[in-house]
Amino acid sequence: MTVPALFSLLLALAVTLWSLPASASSDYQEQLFLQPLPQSSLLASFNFRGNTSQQSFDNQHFRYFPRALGQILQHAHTKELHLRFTTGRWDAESWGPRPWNGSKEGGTGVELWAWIDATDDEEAFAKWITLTQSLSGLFCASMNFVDSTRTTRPVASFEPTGDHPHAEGLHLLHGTLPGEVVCTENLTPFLKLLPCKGKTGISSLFDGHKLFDAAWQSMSVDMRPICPSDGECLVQIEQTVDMVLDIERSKRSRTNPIPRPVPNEQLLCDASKPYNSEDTCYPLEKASGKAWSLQEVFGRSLNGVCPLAESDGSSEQSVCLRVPHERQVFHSEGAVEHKKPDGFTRCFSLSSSQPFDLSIPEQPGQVQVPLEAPVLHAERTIVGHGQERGGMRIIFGNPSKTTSVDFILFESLPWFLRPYIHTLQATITGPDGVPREVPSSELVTGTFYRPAIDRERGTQLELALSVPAASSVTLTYDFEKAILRYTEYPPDANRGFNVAPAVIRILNAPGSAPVYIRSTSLLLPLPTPDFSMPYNVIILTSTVIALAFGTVFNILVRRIVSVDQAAALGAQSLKGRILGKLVAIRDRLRKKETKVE
Amino acid sequence: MAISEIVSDESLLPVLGTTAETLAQCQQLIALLNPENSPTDPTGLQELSLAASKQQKILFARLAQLRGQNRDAIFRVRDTKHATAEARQEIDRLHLQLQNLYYEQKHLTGEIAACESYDHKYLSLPLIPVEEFLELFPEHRESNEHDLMVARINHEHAEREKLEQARQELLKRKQALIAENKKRKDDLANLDKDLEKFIDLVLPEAAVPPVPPSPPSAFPTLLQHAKAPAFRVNIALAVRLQGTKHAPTMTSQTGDHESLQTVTSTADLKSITQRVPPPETPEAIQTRFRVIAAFWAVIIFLGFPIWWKTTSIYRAHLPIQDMVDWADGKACRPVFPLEIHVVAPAMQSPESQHLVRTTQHALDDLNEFAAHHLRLKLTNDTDTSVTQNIDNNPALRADTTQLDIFYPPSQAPIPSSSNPPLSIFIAEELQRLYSEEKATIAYILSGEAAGHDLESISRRLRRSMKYADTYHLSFSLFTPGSAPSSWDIEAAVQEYLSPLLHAFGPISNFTIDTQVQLYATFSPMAPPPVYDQTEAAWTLKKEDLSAFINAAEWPLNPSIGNGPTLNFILYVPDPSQSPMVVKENRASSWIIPQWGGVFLLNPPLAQADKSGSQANPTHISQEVLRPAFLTFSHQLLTLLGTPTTPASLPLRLQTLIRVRAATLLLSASSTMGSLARLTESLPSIPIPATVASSVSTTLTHLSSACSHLREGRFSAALASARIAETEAERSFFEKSMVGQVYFPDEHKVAVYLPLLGPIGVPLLVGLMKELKRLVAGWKARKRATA
Repeated sequence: MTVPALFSLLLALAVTLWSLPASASSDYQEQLFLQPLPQSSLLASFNFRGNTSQQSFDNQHFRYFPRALGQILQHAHTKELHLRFTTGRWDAESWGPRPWNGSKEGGTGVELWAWIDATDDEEAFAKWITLTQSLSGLFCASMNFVDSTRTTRPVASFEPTGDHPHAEGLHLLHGTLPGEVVCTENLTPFLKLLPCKGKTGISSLFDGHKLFDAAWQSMSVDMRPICPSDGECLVQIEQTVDMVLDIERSKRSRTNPIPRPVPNEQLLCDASKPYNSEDTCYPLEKASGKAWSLQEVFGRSLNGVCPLAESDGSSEQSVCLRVPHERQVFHSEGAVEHKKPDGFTRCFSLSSSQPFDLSIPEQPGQVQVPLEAPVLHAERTIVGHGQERGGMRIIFGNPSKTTSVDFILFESLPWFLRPYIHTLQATITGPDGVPREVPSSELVTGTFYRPAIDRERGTQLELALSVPAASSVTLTYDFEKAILRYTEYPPDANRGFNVAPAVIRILNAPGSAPVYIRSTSLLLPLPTPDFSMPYNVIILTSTVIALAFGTVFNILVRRIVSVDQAAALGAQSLKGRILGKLVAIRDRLRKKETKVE
Repeated sequence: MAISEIVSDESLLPVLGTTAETLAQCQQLIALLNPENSPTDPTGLQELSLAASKQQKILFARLAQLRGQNRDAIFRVRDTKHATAEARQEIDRLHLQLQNLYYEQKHLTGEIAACESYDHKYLSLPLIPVEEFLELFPEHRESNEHDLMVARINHEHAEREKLEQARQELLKRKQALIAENKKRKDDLANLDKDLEKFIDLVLPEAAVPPVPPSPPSAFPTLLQHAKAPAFRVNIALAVRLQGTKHAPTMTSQTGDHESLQTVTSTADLKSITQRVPPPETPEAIQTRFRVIAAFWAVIIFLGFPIWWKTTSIYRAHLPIQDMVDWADGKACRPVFPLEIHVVAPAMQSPESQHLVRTTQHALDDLNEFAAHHLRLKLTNDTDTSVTQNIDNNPALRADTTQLDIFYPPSQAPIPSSSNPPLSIFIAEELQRLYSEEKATIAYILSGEAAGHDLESISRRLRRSMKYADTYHLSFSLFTPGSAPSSWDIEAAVQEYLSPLLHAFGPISNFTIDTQVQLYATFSPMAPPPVYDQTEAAWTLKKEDLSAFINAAEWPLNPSIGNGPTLNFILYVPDPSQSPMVVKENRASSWIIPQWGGVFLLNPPLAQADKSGSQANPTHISQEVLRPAFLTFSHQLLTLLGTPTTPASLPLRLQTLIRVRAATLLLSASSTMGSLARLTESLPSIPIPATVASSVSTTLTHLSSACSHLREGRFSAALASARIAETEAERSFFEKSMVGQVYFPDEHKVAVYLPLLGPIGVPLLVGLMKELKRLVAGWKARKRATA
């Protein structure tokens, strides 16, 4: 990794996102950033940003800010909101660092955090519930299940990104739904929030089929107030959609989407592998990169420019592509290409009336866009076996040879997973590859721990950690699995229970943008009962009680006589008389038979 | 042994001969060919060979002959063999037949032996000996044995029949004797009873002190009675003895078989009487009774209260009767007395008083609806400016609640006249002012409006929103393209809407929000506008207006918070479809009942710079918005239910207050009625205390609203009615009242039936048996006492 490469990446991102309040003067902007990634993937980052003045926001005069969301935020006294819908997994080893430094993505499922203006914690929580319920309705997601057990109040992991003049009354609340499946029904309301509604501009590329077919995708909605020192305050809404598309997969025709294997003779095999043979192949990527066009990958072409974004000069170049300058790129008529001095980025200013498409042919022998290595690798798994206990293992790897990494690990665990913090152990593997155990206090510089209360709140654990250069740290702790009540099991209880991903915030030089990493979500298998149990219990107990009662009652009440006496007694009763008649009839019949013989 | 000895068959002899000849021929040939005597000379050789060949030919002929004979011999052998086999078969068959005959013979012999040795019954018959029989019937002496035997058997048969007849007679006699015996036995029993009675009577007699020789007249008869039976007893006893004596003789006569039967039957009788267990001891019965009583005591005094306590639901007391009264309109009859201040600065006090009085009379004559009446009141308010006018044109000021009436001095009422024209004029004017209000209130209270357009009133009421504390007004700018994207909404709202909302302040609160929505297309289901050549405009059909709003895509979700949302939509059509109007009446706006209003704004099109095509302006100024907002305010008034007359807005608002108060009063009352009916019809729903308190608050406020109305304080009445309505709704929609409905007692019983069934049945059966026993005992005791 080279310093210019790092610079260029930061610059590319800066073009798209970190054009901070100073450049936020225009009321609406939208931008698309495309970058081919290794393994024939394509990263597409969509960014939409709308501003409205604080005054018209307060008076409920909505223009670029969506009315539905604005009213919810006002009703819940929410000053800053971050909402994330994510599916898939970002493959950091091949794709490098995350887009927007991970600040615009969430853990798998839905993640939501907000700063709420309230006098005390109870009021803040009540407003938080209002907020989640309303957002649930707006986005067709089950955010109404974010109850007190899934809500945490992080201390060090999140910082407000907006300017809050009255920060003392703000309460940060954070909730996750790791099991939520993000799909088209969430995209439709997301698009409705945009001023151009997916009809024109870069949002016209959105197609639910392609978007949710991506290897990784993240939708985010951020709302924050911005108060420049010289002007009046603004309320900014920023919506992003990031996705990593498999180019091959996306290029499949829609009418015939069944994937077909590459013919043998077209396979490019890695001959250096020991198992490489006639019938075994480790496919190599083509050095020339895949050919693709917007039309092929997204299934539709870009339909002009959203006219609201047009007026401002900075948003002219709304589509940016990061490939080496040597690489040939064709674009449709009416658009103008601008090459950036970093050697890898080029942007296009589009014509308002004509549809835009760009296509990249296959081109051998070219410079690859260098990818930065991620600052930190993190991996979290559940270990152990059995229905009673388990363990959590988190591995952090620092690829840097020179600098150590400081970060904050934020875990919000469900209440039915009861961690034993005293079992927290750290193992450090240095550059020599020898693991050695160290007391966890040596690595953990700060801890914030809020234990769980059954059925009321989950565990919140924030650890400030430091990983030395060129080494990896393994943190482990044990936990106990709680036994749930009968009615607390979901319908698919045997699938397991989702545990929210851990959030890692990397603390680097102050003033720069925060870097976030999220681990994958985990599935925790809990002991599951047989659900017909209560009825079995009721019926079995009832039978046993009835049997016991019947025996006791009969012994107490019945008269005890000898067998022949019983017959005589029986003969006097109605039943006995009937039986006697029957016997007589039988005897007569028998007699007749004998006579016949 | 020579071959000729072995073969002796004649037919084979030629063969043998031929064989011998052939042999000789062979030997001859061998001899001829013997090398020892073969000639050396060629002629000899030739001759020899000729001779040899001749001999050879002869040999061949002989051999052929031999072969033919051999074949014949073989054929003959074959024929012989065949004949032999047939003969043998024949022999076998005959042998088998013979065997069968043997068997048959043996069987028949056996049968004959069996028949001869058959032991017939007549042989074992106990006949009288032959000699005896012959003595009796000498004519049979000559007959053979068979006939003799037949005769003997016939004789025996006749004898037996005679004996059987005798037995039957004896049986009859025995039956008669048994019957007599029984009769005697009954007599004896009667005698026993008589004897007991006699003893009962005699013993007290013995207990009394020695009686005088002449006893009271009652005794002799008694004694006679007693004595006679006693005598009979002896006879009966004697008879019985006789009977018993008779019986054995009789049985001995009839035979052993009979006597055996009687013995077994008596044995049967004996065994049955022995097996019945002894009656239960009273202690056992008492114990069983106590056990069952204890079980039932536990059930009744412990189980039942626990069940009752744990499954009972809390039902707070509700004043059902009051609630129903309110719903039926019995509790309050809303009246609307309006006080009208009359200022007559140009008149003398008595004159003006007279005017007021006569006008009041005229008003009362005109009024048909008793609940709504006008009261005139004279005041000396001098602030009001009154000018005189020659014309009789009453001028109602649009911005105040003041009605100015100008009259020529000639029409000034004369104190003596009872019906001055001025009074009638004023009364009619006032009546006209309030006619719509009256009709509306009458419609609300009774469902019918006398003498007014019922249709228009009900339509107006249907369109208007339900009353709420707070209304959210949402103004939206929709356009199918990208322009206009901004509007001067803040100024427009401030300028055109705020005064109206301020005037509505006493009735409701309002919040306002606005939005701009671009790229708002029609729903694909909606019929598109059609270009009309004559109108030079794009037209929407009236019946298609309901599909104008694309509810699926336009973000028109209701505002958060309590209260309904009123949507006002400003639609700017695409330049290609501009101007757009409603086809039937060229209108550009319409009301969607209980939802909001739509206004089609066709702004002047601006020339787009490049292609010369027309485009909408990107910004809509306040001036352009003016007609739209005037329409919106009119629509708002309609949606809120404001009456259309009179012209003065303050008067209309006052009318609205009264109409609203009446509506709320009725709606809260009917809610109370519904709640009462609900709680009565569903006895399984709980009624929490909060509902009871809500109901009492509602009733209090309802009555205070009613009294406020009666006293003419309409704003206060409205406030009370509002509270009543809120509380009534809260009590009716109380959440905890819903839950219990879904768990009726039947379900609980079904769940616990496996327990209750097996336990309940024995308990119930035990209880029933005990009750039966108790009832039987009680009856017996009663009979005993009676």
